[in-house]
Amino acid sequence: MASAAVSLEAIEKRFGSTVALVSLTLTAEAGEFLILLGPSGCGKTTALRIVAGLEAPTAGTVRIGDQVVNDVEPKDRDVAMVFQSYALYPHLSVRRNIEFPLRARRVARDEREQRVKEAARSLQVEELLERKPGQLSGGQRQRVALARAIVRDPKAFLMDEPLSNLDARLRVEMRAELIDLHRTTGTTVIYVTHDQVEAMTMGDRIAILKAGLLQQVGSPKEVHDRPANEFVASFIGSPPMNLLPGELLGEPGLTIGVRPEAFSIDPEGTIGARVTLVESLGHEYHVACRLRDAAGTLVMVRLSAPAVPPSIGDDVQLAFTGPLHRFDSVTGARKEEAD
Amino acid sequence: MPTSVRTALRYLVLVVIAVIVLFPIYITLVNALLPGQDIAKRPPTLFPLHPLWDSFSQAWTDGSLGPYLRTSAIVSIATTLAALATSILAAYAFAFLEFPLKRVLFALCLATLMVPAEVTIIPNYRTIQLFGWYDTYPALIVPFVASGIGIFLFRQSFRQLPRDLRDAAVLDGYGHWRFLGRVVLPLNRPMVGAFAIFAFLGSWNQYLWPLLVTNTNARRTVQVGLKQLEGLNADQQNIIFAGTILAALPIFVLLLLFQRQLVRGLTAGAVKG
Repeated sequence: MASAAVSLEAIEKRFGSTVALVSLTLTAEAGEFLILLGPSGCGKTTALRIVAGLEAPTAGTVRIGDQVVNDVEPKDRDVAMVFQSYALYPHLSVRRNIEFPLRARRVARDEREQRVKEAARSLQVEELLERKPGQLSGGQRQRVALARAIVRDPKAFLMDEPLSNLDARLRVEMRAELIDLHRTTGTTVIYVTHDQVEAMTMGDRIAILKAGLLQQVGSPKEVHDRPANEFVASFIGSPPMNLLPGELLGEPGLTIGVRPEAFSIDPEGTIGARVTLVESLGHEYHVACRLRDAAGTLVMVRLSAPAVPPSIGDDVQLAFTGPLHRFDSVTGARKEEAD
Repeated sequence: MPTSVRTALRYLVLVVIAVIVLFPIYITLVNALLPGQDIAKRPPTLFPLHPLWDSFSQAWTDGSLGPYLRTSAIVSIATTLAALATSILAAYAFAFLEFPLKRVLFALCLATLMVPAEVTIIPNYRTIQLFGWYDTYPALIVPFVASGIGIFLFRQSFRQLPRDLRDAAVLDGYGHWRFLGRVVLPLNRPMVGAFAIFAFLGSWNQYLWPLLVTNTNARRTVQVGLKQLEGLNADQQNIIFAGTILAALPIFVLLLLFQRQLVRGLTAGAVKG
């Protein structure tokens, strides 16, 4: 197994006057599935391209295994990338596409055939080998793209939103397959996504970026249960965490984070609100309520299915049933001592 | 209006246009097959009852079209290959590489499109003389091996390639030459075909420049060579027409062979593939 740790040390990246990454230090341990999560333009793809060698960092060190690779050509870094657009060569058959990196490395023909066969088998594209990418469905194309990546047996996989172009059902399917693939190959994966469900379900750890700044790195449970700041709190979880002004609870200077599932509708509750929207997802309800404070703050409440949902326009009382998160209302940073 | 009537009308218009386009070619063929003295007759003969197929062999021998055609073929093929090579390489640099003054240099390439060919004739002629190339193949070929329009067309076409494909090839270990040969060119085949035909046509149909820089029959192209036939008597006009047809024949064959490529190249990028 060739898997290696990948680390970024104090990486800066500027495009002209635009700052894409600010002093990013982050390590994907050997064999780890690390997610880079953030909204569009947060620098996550740039970070991935820097690891691949497709972009040079303005400052900082990139390491793969023990080797500093800043000056190593992309092809010699021994990493394979999977693109959102699949980046299959449209004029070549599936077989030739998978073979492409092996041909470039002048792997002998017998070994090439053997490895293509294995890669095709593990991604179940054996029947498609003689077709052209244009004759494949989106899911099949993504499998071929993955086969092209694994055929090289690289030290790390870099995946740039590989599932974004698939429909919802296929995405769930491929998610499971990617996790499986990672388990069987044991290769380090750095996976870029803006989809927090993907991040939560697939990653060993999640690194959350915003505007080129690393916000938090931790296991899915850590970033969910102990978000480092308001941004992480509102980015992780669906629907997102409610952020209430501290004044509401007699804690001025703070922002109080309450996950939608940490609210309940309870006649004994202390917070008065009016229901403005009820969404049913079958197994749960999302109830939007406008608080009766001066600002008319909107909060989202999640109720599990057996509960009878209120109707729009109902006056209700809300109670807290889960942990509250406290953030400095100026810096947005988590206030640990209050937990 | 019912669809059938509209279709009929559309075909009628197309037929009229086709007749307008094809008539000069037809009348050239007819004139080649008529006895020379009948060509000037009014009303003109539209169908030769006793076609003189001899005109073609006569044009071939009297006009010594063989050597002229050979020169034309050498010049046109060399010009086309050279123009393809320079255009593709320059376009690749403009599309995929970063280098200083890239935009300025590209603008200069575009600027050459705005200079009428006539303006460059005198300076080019003097350069050719200076190099001692008068009446040589290089004189006929070299001035046309770089093409502003070629660079522009290929660059636009190359830029349509998704960036991910370039990145994937880089990571797969393909350098510039292999990326160009294995990915860029195969994906731009219609454009290569279309440009090759245009370049060949342009070179084949040159008249003024070959006339200026050659003075022996050995270096004259077929368009210049046809002039030799003008010395014939008025009653041998049919031979001039036959020669014209023979001179155009290679182009005609080429167009027939590459018709599909040409049309695909012209509409490349018009619709999403």
